[in-house]
Amino acid sequence: MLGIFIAIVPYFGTIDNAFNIIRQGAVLIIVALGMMMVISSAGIDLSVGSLIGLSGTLTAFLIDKGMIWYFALLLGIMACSLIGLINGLVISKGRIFPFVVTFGMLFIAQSISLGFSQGGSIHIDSIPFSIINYGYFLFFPIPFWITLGLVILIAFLMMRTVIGCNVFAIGSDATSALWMGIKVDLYKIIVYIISGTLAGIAGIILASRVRTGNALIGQYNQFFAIAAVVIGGTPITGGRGNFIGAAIGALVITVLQNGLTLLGLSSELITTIVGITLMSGVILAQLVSQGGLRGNN
Amino acid sequence: MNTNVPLLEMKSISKAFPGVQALDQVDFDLYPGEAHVMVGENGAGKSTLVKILSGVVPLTNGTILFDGTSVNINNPSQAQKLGIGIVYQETSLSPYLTVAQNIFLCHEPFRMGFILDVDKEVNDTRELLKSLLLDIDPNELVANLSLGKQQLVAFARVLSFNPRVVILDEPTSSLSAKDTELMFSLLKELKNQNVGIIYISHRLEELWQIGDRISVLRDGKKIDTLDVKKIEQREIIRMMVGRDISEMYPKEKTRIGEEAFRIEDVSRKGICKNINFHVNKGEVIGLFGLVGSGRTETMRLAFGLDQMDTGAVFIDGNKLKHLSPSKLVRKGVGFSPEDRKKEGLCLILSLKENIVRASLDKLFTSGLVSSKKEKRIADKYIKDLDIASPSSDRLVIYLSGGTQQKVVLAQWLCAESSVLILDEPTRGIDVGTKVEIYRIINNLAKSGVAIILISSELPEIMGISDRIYVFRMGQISGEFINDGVTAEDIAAAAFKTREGNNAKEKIQ
Repeated sequence: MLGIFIAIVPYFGTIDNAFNIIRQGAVLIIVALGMMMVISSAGIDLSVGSLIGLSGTLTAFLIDKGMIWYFALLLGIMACSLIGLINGLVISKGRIFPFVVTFGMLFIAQSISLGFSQGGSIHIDSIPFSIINYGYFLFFPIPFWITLGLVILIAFLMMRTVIGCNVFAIGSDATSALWMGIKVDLYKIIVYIISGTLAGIAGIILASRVRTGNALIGQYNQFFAIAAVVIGGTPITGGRGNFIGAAIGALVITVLQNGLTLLGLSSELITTIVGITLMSGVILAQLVSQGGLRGNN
Repeated sequence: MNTNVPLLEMKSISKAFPGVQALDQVDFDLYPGEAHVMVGENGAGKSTLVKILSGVVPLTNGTILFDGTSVNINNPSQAQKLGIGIVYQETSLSPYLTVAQNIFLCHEPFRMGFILDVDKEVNDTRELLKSLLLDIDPNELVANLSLGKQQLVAFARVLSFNPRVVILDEPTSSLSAKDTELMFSLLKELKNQNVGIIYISHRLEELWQIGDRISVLRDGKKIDTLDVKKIEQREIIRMMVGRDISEMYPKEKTRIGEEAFRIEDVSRKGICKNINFHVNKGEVIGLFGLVGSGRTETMRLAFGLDQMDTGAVFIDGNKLKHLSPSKLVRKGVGFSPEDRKKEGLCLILSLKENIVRASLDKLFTSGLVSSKKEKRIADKYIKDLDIASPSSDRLVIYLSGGTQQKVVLAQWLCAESSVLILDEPTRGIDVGTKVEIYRIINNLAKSGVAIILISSELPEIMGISDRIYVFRMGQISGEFINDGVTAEDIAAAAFKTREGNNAKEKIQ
C-alpha cells in the first residue's frame, strides 16, 4: 500500500508528509494502545472518542481562563483518567457490560465538553502549547517521541509487570482468573484508567494541532481504534493482546486516509474506501488468528 | 501416615442454592499424608464441596477446621494462603500465557518490588518441571499444549505454592495412561511429604492405586467413609446409585410400534465414533453415561446443530439428506436441551410466545401472528401440563426451573413432535415436579411419541426407559433391555471397570 501511494501520489513520499503522517497517526496509535489493553481484558471502551474531545476542550477552557498551559493539559488528561476510573468502577463493581457503560460515558463526556465550550469550540492562543504538535526534538516531530515513549511504557506494563499476565488471564476467562486468586476487579479498573488516560494524551496532541478545544473532534476515533486493534491481531473476544500490532494497525489506517486524501478523492469516497478496507482487514485478521471465519472454539 | 490431628476437618457442612440442597450436613476429614477419595454421581455435591474449600462458594452452615483451628475461606487467595491447592477438572489456566507465566500467576517474583523477574520465573519453572519429571518448555504457550499436558501444568502450578492440602477434581480424565502413572507417582511423593490429598474421580479402578480412605456422596449427603482396602468396587457403585426407585417412576406399559428414528454410524473426530441406535414409536430409550461421554454431542450431531464427519439419520425409515435443525423440526423431531435457560427458552419472552415458538409456521400459515390464537393454544397446554403460572403472559424468566422445563415440553407438544430428544429434563428440579415430568413422558409415549432420554441419573434412566444405551468415551459401551438389568451392570459399562480397563490396555 505504501508502495502504491509513493508511486502514484507525488507528495506522499516526501519527508514532510511522512512527518505529517506521524503527527496524524500519533493520536490513533495512542488511543489504540489503550483499546488493545481493554479488548484483551475482554472489554471495550467506546468513550475514548469523547475523551479526546474532553481533554482538549478542558485544557483550552483552562488556558482561556488564564491557567499556565502545562497545568491545564495535566488537568485535561487527569479528567480523562478520572472518567476511566469511573468506567472501571461501574463495570467491575456494578457488574455491567463494558459496552453499555462506556457507550453511556461517550455521551456524558461529550456533554461535559460541550458544557465547557458552550456548544462551540475554544481557540488556544498559547504558543508553547502548539509546539507539542508542531515542534521537533532530535530531528523528529514531538508527537513521534510521545508515541514512542507510550509504546515503550505500555510494552513495559504488559511484559514486565503483573498487569499483562493478569489482564490476559481475565480476558480469557474471568471466572477461572478469580479462582486462581487474581484480583479481577482491580485489574479491570486499571485497564480503563489507562485507556482513559491515553485518550486524554491523544486529545492534547490533537488540540495542539488544531489549536482549538473542540468537544466533537475525536468522534469515531473509538471505532478506528477498535479496528486498529483487531487488524493488529488482538482477538475481539479478549485473552490476548498485541500492542505492536495495534500500533501498526493504527498506522495503516492513518496512511490510508492520508494517501487517499492526497490522491484528491472526495471525502465520501475516502470514508467508503476506509470502511471497506477496515472490514476486509478485520475479516483477514480473524481468518489468520482463528483459522476460520466462524471460529472453531 | 501420621495420625491423631486431622489436617483438615469439615463439620456438618451444608450448602443450599435456590431450590436445591447441594450439601446436607456433610462431615469430611483429611489427615496428613493421606489420600482421601471422594466419589458420587454427577450432582452428588462433590464439586460444591471443592468450591467451598477453594473459597469460590460460601457455605450456608458448618465449620471448617484447618490444623485444628476454625477458619473462614472467603476467596481463592485465602485458600491459597492456607495452603489449599486445587487442580480443577477443566483446567483453569490462561491459554495465551506461557507455562511459566501461568505457574507464577499471583505469586510472581519481582525485582525492585514491581518489575517482573522474567528470568527467575522461567528458571524456577524449568526446575519445578524438571523435579516433577515433566518435559515441558516453560516458554511454550499453554494453548499449544495438549489437554493432558495442560492438566499437568495446572498440577505443577498448585505445587509451586507448596500446598499442604491438594485437591484434584477428576485429574486423569484428560491424561494418557503414561501421564496418569506419572501423576500417581507424584501424588505418592506428596503423601510421603505429609501433604493431604483429596481425590475426586469417576474412574473407580484408580481408587486402589492412590486412595487410603473413600467417602461416598449421594444427593448432597455423605453415605459413608470407609477404608479403601476393605471395600469392593460393586459395593461402591451400589452406594453411589442405590436408592428406592420403584414408586418414583410410574412406568406403564405402552404399545411399541415401528421404528421412528435411527442414527447410523455417526462419527465426529474427538466427539464420538460409530454410534448406532434406534427408537420406536411409543418407546422410551435412555442414553446413560458420564458428562462428556458423548451423549449430548451425538444428539447435537443428529439434530444438525453440529456437523458430523460421517453417519446418517433416518426418520420413519427414510434417510435424511442434509441435516439442519429447521429440517428436523419440520420432520417432527423436538430437542429439549440440557441448558434449558440458555438454549431451550427465550427467557425474556412470555409463556405463550415460548410455547408456540417451534410451530409458528404451522399455526400461522398466513405469516401474521394472532395473539388471541397464541393465548388460546398456550392456555390449553398450561391446563394439560399443569403449568404453574398466573397467566400465559408471564415472562418465562420468572418461572421456577421445573415449570420452565414444562414450558419446553409444551413447546414440542405444540409442534406435534413425533420424536422427542430430552437432554437432562429433570436437572435441578425438585422431586415432586420430577414425577410430573415422568408422567408427561409416559403419556407421550402412550400416544406413540418416540422418546430419547439423556440423563446422568441412573435411577431415572432405569425408571422410565424401555431400552438403555450406555455411552463411554464417545462410544456405545453397552445396550440393555430394561428388564431385570441391574444398576451395577449399567454403571459398570459407564464407569471404566477394573477388568475392562485391563482388557483395553492389552489391546493397546
